[in-house]
Parts: sequence; structure tokens; C-alpha cells
Amino acid sequence: MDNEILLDVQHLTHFFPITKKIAVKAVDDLSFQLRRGEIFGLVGESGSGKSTVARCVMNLYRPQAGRILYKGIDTCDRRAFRKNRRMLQTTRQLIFQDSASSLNQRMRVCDIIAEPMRIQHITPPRGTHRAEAAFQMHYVGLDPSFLDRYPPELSGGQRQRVAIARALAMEPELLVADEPIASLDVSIQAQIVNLFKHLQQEHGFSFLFIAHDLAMVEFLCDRVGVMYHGRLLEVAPTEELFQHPLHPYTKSLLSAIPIPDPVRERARKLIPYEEEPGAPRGTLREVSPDHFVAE
Amino acid sequence: MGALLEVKNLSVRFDARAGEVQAVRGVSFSLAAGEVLAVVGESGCGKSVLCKAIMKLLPPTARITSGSILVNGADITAYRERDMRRLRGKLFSMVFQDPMTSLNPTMTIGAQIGEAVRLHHPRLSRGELRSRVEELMTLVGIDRPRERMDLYPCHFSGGMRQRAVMAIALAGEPSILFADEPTTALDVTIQSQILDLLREVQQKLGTATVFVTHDLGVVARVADRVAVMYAGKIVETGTAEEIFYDPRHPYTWGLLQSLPALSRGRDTLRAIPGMPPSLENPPRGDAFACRNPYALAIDYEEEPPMFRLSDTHYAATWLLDPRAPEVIPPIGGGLHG
Ligand SMILES: Nc1ncnc2c1ncn2[C@@H]1O[C@H](COP(=O)(O)OP(=O)(O)OP(=O)(O)O)[C@@H](O)[C@H]1O
Ligand SMILES: Nc1ncnc2c1ncn2[C@@H]1O[C@H](COP(=O)(O)OP(=O)(O)O)[C@@H](O)[C@H]1O
Ligand SMILES: [Mg+2]
Ligand SMILES: [Mg+2]
Repeated sequence: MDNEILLDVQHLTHFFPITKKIAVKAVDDLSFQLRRGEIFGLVGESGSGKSTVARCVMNLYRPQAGRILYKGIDTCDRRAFRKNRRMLQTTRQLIFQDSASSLNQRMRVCDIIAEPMRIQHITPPRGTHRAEAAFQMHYVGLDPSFLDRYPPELSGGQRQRVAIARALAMEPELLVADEPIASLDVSIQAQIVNLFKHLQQEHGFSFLFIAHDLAMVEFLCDRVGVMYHGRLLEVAPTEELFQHPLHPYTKSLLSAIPIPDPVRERARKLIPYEEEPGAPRGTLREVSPDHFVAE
Repeated sequence: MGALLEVKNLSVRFDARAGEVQAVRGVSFSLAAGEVLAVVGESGCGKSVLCKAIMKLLPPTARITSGSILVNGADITAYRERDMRRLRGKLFSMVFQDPMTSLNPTMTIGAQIGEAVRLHHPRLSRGELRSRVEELMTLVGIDRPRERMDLYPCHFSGGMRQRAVMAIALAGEPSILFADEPTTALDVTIQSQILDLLREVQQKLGTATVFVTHDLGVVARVADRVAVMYAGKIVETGTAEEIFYDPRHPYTWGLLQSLPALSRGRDTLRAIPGMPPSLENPPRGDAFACRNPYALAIDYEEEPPMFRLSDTHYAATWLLDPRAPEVIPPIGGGLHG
């Protein structure tokens, strides 16, 4: 892994208007950097804004404030985006959290997987689009008999794997994966995680990996950022974060990791975390090399 | 005590364009009042279809081809939609995966819970309805219900939203709750709280629960009994202790070995090799045979019966036949001990 910065998120802020008067601050002045060839994990409370970050990074939302630099290009700038559109659309891919609703219900699996290649006029490396789709399906553990099915005829985990195959077919440099494996059984999770690791090590893919399963994050990620209420509270290399968590929310999160052992799991106690209302919003400070915590 | 729910030899097929899919193949299990049964297994092995078949929520392309479903001894297999509508909510209720999408963002939480209450008690006055909503919110652990009733889902954190979803599911005081991956979209702290809540509510109301999940940590926390499914069948069933400390089916071994906790310091995780079979043409014999390092010749010929290990523990693998060679399980006796 070199130290080139592939993705640089600076002071990202995004609101959602709910009614005329109320708005949700989904992401609030958030900054982090993803190095080339790195797997950066984003964890945190449900509703803390992880998916919103992913969608801003992929230009699906236009943030109200902040900049997102990808290979030095400000992707939120309309002109810069237009000029680099093809590069941005072919080298970045997103796996959605709810692939069930993000897949086109009226398309067959083989067409869903080949669609991005068709749109970008990419010649499939394995001859035909169908052969390419079949190859990618094999990678994610799906039988070729699924090629002619439609999404409503698949189980939740099968649909999720179609979404993963579709993103991988583009051989992206940056893969943003929003809870890609939560709906899969543990053996297939292991298979996909091994695949991600292989793609990082052998093909130099970079990942923004959003997940709840901290055991998987610990196994897969190089660095981890902990989010809470739209902000980053702690960022550190994975081992450092799991060994020496500093922020009380991180400690609470780590205490909540379920243990697959009935006796130990039932005895496990959660360290609760409540943010004091009106507490000052901390800024990230580097307390040891590469370990940042909000104070 | 008799079983609250008894499913016998249930099979479900889909007529898909590409051919016939045998999603559930001869599943039998029973559920006692107040019990939590966790259903785990390969993605696509038929867990969701099984739950939907019992609640009669299958799409029109699906058919129940054999078996029976008994509730309190009454056979409901042939019930029509009209009869089922009376049962749903009151006898059965369900919580699905995504709490973010199962609430309406433009309606207050109180109004949404109220709507569910009205479905079961159409004649309540406004005041009675409000107090019932308050009661349900208290039951699921939402503090200051009176103030929070008038808030919108966006004002609630993820955990609070899932509590609201639970309040809606519990509005009809169901005897059986189907929870299909209810905590998959939640972070671990909230998940822990919701699971403890589920246990508490279940003890208070005596609700029986069928809990579908992929998270074996969740299973360890909530389940009284576990059913492990593979390719449309239950291949092993037992108490949580029996499944975690004394698993007998090679597929169960494979699942437990895939956990990242067991691969600390290794470069790759131990996934089960190969792919699950297509349910269009399930293979002859044991469907797991081609991925099973312990497979015997007979596994490719004949389906194994359910072997009895204890009153609660059963497994369908030829390894338990007295003629089979002795195999030392690669796992069991506590994952960390
Ligand atoms: N409408 C349908 N038409 C055809 N086949 C279907 C349909 N719905 C489901 N299936 C098939 O039935 C099988 C069982 O599906 P089910 O949704 O029960 O899986 P599951 O065990 O819940 O999996 P997951 O863990 O991925 O949610 C799958 O192989 C799926 O492809
Ligand atoms: N399309 C939307 N409309 C309104 N509010 C939204 C929308 N998407 C997300 N939000 C809100 O923004 C916040 C962050 O959501 P999200 O990014 O989905 O969190 P996470 O992925 O961390 O669970 C939540 O409060 C959520 O309700
Ligand atoms: Mg999300
Ligand atoms: Mg399912």
C-alpha cells in the first residue's frame, strides 16, 4: 500500500428536509481520507449517516457543504464532474445496502450484471456479456442457473450477491460497499470477504467498507472510522482501535459485539453510551500516530 | 403442554419461468408457547419462504405441495385469505428486516402504532386509542411516550425506530412472532438492546418467536432451540447449547468454522468450499454431499434420515449411522474454550 490519497473527503455536510420546517443533519462536517489500495471501514450507530456518506461519495447526493476529491478531482464540482464523467463512472462502483430495492425488478440477472459494461461500451473480457456475468456469478457463489431469473424470484442473499457481481464486473479502482454482506450466511460472508481481500492484495482495489459486523471489520479493514450522529468520533488503524479504543462510544460499540457462544454471550454486558445533551462538538485530534479521537 | 405451532412435512414449490424451484422440502418442526426458535442456514435455503408459507403470504406462483400446518391443534393448511386475515396480527405477526423502510416518514410514530391498534380494535375511542398506543410504546422501552407519540420517524434513532416497528407488530398481542432478520440493518449496540427487549416482551406476553438470522452471536443470545437449514430441509435441530457445543452435521460444522473469530491471525476465512445446489434440480442423496469433506459413498445415493441424539437434538447425516466410520468433529465444545 502506498500513501497516495485516492479519496479525500473534506468537511462533508448533508441535510435532508423532512417537512418545511424540519431538516435532519445526516452528515455534519466530516473529513477522512482513503489511501490507494486500502480498505477503510466505516462503522457506527444505525442512522449515523454512513449510507449518506457513501451516496455523497458516489455523487448520488449533492452535499450542502464540503468537498470530495477523487484522484484530486473535485467530484462535487459540476464542471469537473462532466469533464471526467466516464472515468468517474467506470472506476468507482457502489454496492447498495438494500440491493433488493436497488435492482431493476424487470431485468434478468444476466442483464443486470452486464448493464454497466453495456452502458460504458466496455468489451467483455470473456467474450460475451453472458459469459462475463456467469464468471462474476461464480465468484460470488451463485449457480449459473440464476442467470435467467428476475430479482423477485431470488432470496435476499441471492439478490445481494447479484449486486456485488454487478459492481465487481467493472473492475473498479474504488468500491464503496454499504453493508454488503449483512444479509448473507456466515459461510458466504467468509467467501465474499476472502474475495475482497484477494481483490485488494492482487488487484490493488481500494474499498470504503461500511458494516455493522465488527468481527468482520476487524478481519478485513486496514483502518476504521467510528461514526455517531453524522460525525466521526474516532479513526485509527484496525488493530489499534480494537486494542486501545479511546472514545466512550467506541468502547460501547466494542462491548456490543455478539459472541457465538451461548454461555458467554448471555453473560455479556453492554457498556451503555449516552451523549450528554449540549456537549461541545469535539474535533479530531491525533493522540498517537494515525490514531485520532474527538475531544 | 401441546405445541402452539406444528409444521409437518411441509413442501413449497415455485413455478418460475426457468423451471420449478423446490424451495422448502419436507420441513417439520414444532413451537411451544413462549419459546424462541432460531432458523439459520445457507442464503437461499428456504427460511423466508418457510415463514411466509406458514403465514400464507407467498406469491401466487408458489404452491404448498405437501404437509400440514397446525395451530393449537387446528389444521390451517387449507385456510383461505379471508380466514387468514383474522389470524394475522392476532395469532401471527411479523417484523421484517429494514426498520427504515417499514415506517412511513410522513406520519407520526403515534399515528402509525395507532393504525395497527385500530386494525384489531376498530371500536376504540380516541382517548382509549391514545392510551393503548402509550402502553405499547412503554412496553417496547420508548421513554416519555406521551411526548414522543407526536414525533416523526426522522426524529428517532435507528434503535427507537426498530422499537416502534416492534410496537406495531405487537399491537394485536400475537401468540407467534415471525422475525425475519429483524436486526440485520442495525448496529450492534442497538441490536443487543432490541434482542434483550424481545426476550423481555416475550416473557411478559408469552409470545413464541421464529427468529431467522445469519448472525450466530444473535442465535447464541436469544434462541432456546435452533434449526439449521440447508437446501430446503432442516438438517440439524437442537437446543442452543447442543448446536454450539455439540454440533453433529458437517454443514453446521462448516457454518461455525466460517466465523471470523476462528480465523484471527489467518489471511483468509474458512468458507465452506463450493456452492449451494440449485433448488431447481436438487441432487440425489444428501444435498450437502459434494461440499462435505466427510461425505460417504451412500451420501450420493440416498438421503439420510433424521438421527436422534437426544429428546431435543436431531441431525440428518449418514455419519450418525452405526455403520459409519468414526469422525472427530472439527469444532464444538465452546468456540473460545
Ligand atoms: N418468487 C420466487 N420464484 C422462484 N423462486 C423463488 C421465489 N422466491 C424465492 N425463490 C427461491 O426459493 C429459495 C428459498 O428462498 P428464501 O427467500 O426462502 O431463502 P432464504 O433462506 O430466506 O435466503 P436468505 O438468507 O438469502 O434470505 C431460493 O433458492 C430462491 O431463489
Ligand atoms: N432520503 C432520505 N430522506 C430523509 N432522511 C434521510 C434520508 N436518507 C437518510 N436520512 C436520514 O439521515 C440520517 C442518516 O441516515 P443514513 O445515512 O442512512 O445512516 P446509516 O447508513 O448510518 O444507518 C438518518 O437520520 C436518516 O433518517
Ligand atoms: Mg445505512
Ligand atoms: Mg430470507
